Amino acid sequence: MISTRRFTRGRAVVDREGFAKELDEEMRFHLEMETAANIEKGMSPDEARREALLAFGGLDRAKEECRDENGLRWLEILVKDVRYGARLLARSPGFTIAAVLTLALSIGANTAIFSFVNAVLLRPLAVAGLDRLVVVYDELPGLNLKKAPMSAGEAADLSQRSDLFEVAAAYREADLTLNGTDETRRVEVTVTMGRFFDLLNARPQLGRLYGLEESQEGRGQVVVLSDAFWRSVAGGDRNIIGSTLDLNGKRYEVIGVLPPELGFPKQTQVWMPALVTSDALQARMRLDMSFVGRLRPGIAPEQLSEQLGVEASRWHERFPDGYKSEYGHTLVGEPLVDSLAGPLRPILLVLMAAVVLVLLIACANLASLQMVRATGRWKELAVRTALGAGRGSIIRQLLTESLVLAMLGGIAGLLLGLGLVRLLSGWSAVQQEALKNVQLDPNVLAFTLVITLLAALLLGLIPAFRASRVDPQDVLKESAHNSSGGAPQQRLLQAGVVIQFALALTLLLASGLTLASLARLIAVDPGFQAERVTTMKIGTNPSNYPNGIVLSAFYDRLLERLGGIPDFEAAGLVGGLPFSGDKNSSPFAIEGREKRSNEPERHANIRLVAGDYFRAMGIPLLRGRMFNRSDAPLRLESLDLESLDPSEFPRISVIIDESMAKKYFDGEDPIGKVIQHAGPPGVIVGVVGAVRDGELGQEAYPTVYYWHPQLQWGYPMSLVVRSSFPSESVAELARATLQEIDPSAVAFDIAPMEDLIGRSLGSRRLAMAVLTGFAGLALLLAVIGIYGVISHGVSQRRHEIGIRIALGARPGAISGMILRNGLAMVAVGAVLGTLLFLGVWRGLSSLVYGVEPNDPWLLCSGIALLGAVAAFASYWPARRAAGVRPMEALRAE
Amino acid sequence: MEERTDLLQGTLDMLILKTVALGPTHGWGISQRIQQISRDVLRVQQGSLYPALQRLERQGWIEASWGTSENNRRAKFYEITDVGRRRLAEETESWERLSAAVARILQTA
Repeated sequence: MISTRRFTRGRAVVDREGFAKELDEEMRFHLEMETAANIEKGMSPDEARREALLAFGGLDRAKEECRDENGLRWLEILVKDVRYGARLLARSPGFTIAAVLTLALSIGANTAIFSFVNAVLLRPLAVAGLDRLVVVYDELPGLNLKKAPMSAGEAADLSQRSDLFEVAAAYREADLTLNGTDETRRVEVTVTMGRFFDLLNARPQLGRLYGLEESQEGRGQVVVLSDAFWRSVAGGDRNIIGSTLDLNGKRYEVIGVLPPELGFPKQTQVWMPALVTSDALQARMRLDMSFVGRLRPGIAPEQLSEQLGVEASRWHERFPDGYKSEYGHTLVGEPLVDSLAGPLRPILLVLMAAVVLVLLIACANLASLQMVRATGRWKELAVRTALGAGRGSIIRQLLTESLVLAMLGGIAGLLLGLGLVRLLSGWSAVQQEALKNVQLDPNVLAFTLVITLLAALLLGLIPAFRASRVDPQDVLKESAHNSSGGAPQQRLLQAGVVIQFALALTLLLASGLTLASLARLIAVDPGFQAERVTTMKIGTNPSNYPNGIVLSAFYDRLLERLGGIPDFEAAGLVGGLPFSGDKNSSPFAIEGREKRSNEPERHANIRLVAGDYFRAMGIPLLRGRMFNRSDAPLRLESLDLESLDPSEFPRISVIIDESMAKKYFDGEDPIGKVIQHAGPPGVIVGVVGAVRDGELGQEAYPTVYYWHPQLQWGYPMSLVVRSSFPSESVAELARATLQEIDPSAVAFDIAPMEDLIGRSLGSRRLAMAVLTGFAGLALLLAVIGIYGVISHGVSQRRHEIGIRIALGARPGAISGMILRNGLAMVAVGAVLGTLLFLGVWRGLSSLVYGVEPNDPWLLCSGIALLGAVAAFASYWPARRAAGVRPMEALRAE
Repeated sequence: MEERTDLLQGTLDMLILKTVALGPTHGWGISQRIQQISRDVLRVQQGSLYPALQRLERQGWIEASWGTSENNRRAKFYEITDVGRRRLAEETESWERLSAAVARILQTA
């Protein structure tokens, strides 16, 4: 006997043909022998063969079982199912494309939005121990200050609470001018107090980082650079360590460079230690430091709040003058993550909800698509069952098909997601810090895959159950009154359509609400003429301008030169440009009008202006006069301030805005009244129109305007130019003029005023655009759904329709019947959708402005759109129904 | 249907092993012998022999090789291995123990 190699497992798969041939031969031999034996027993050749086959049993079955024993059966089955599924999918391209597109869109959108949520909420900083970092704010409701920075003294005191914080630090941001050998540029600087770098677990990539000691008065000034800044200003030269930089006229030694991934606060190019003077520590109300601390493990949020309250009370005792009781000063803590996410969170949650809704609609859609398809395949499935396929194998095959579809959809979705994220990241209207570098990340991948598989199972399961419950007898008998599972299946399909439309309507109404809100907002008059206005910040080197007189002279010369440029209609300067995020507010008192104890604190914004600011911005003068030459700087040198009575103090001129006039001088002429606000007492010389400041949706805040020659401050002022020139040209001209006067001055942050307003609407615009997109998508999906279901219904009812027509029904009546059917579903869906929307609209409350959710226009137009869309989708099947030829319909089936 | 096969599986395996132990033979020969020996009481679906043969071969209890049959046809012959012989002895023993126990139970009733 020649021993051949043993069968190894898997041979049936690896060498299918060889294996099959051998088996075949073996079995043939068996049958021949049996047949021969039968013939010998006396049977005829035919009988013998028949008996042999009978005795053998199922030939194919036996072969299958042999393969089972030796093959990786499950793999074979899987491959077979996948191939079959793919073939089937290819044979109905309409279904496949619709299904894959649906999945791709809903998964792609999910991925993109999730990446956003991820970027904003989960990982805004590459910092270890992020979750323990806490920001502490001052809250002074009496001054209308919420989440305000602290003062240096407060930050220093709070850092001492080592029972609360392991590490603590504070910082503020500033713009300084770097005076280089060949260029002057503006630099974003963060000034820090405390163990700032310890807080971030920062390690320098070059040199060293500064610690607590360098903050003391009198020590040499040092700086640390960001990686990007180092490369840009020194070309990555390692000898930068030890060299000095001239910032605002002061010399600083470069001691270190941070690695590229570490950059907090974002966009900082240079870090330097604060020079904390004892004066600064005493000025409790100079609020400019942001405090961040790492909580000790084991401190709960409630504990922190309590302790912050205790600390605040201590300060109130120590500095009674600093903390007037009417301020209502408290300390409030918040996780750093939350503070960075800021106002984005509610919007993003809304978007996530929208995304989930769309996915639900998509699933309902695909489920009904699958159900409809399954109906068409019942003959095939019935035959398979008759041939011995078990229920399990049918379910398995349908499931595999769904999985193939889901995989295709998932891949397409991922690609779409990548593209979408890139698109959203570059959205110019969104200038939010946290959204600048959003990328897809591994969490997203996992999320997408989970959704994909969930979708596949969800979709594949429903039709699989229905289809496998088919009794082969029924289908094969071809009963004319269709076997489609009839009424219950139709109901299910209809329910699906109702749900889709309900959800679609919810999204539609939500997007309509934000659309209407946005439209209202855009229509709001900001109080000035924003067209043709260019703005930019002017930065100067303080060492060149030791006092206000010199600085005013500079500004005067600048404005004079600018005024000489043809086509510059007006130019002015302002400290605190509207919609730029610069705001300063302070309490004030009106001379001669004592504040009653039950009256709230009076406060107003401070705005410093120079030149032709009001005309440049298009702010109307309502009463009195503008600032002019007669408002000269105060000559204080010749006065003995100590002995002066307050009422004899020299006054400066101020202009108030309409909102302040209405609020505090209602019914009387404010001109001539004196207020005590920021600086020396001011006599009101004019009233101008009120200007909205940062939020179009909010009322204008009372504002007091000061005249630059009379009052100065150290922050860069913004230049405002009204001209028909485009911004770049205006900026060019402004820069050229600046250079002539003072080469060390810089112009930066150039933007047309309209852009600034647009930016304030940025996140709303984004939310609205995306919601509208989702609503559109939802509607599209719902349309596909209703078309499919009604179409299917018409096919199922051909017989019935045939009879009706034969009995005399007019085509119009038939199509009317079908149309009514469709609209009935939509009507129910509309009711449900409206209820759902009214139930959940509060989630959108942050985006709503000027519109009520139960606004009849909104609801009616939403439902009307829905109805129109549904009617359109039902029209074609309805027409088809009307065109049914009775004889054909009755004869078929 | 599948349940019956399960029950028979173990028994069938033993029958085949015993048959092959008597001397190398091909698939048809095995089915004939089983019929003969059991005096036609056991009528196994002949086809189900083949998966069983695959299984036994995979487990190493029998060995297969192609050869020529009595009537000069090409056929696959099976032979018991040493491992197979041992296995057969073990199973025979446990089968005898089992049937003895069953017999006792039936007697006491």
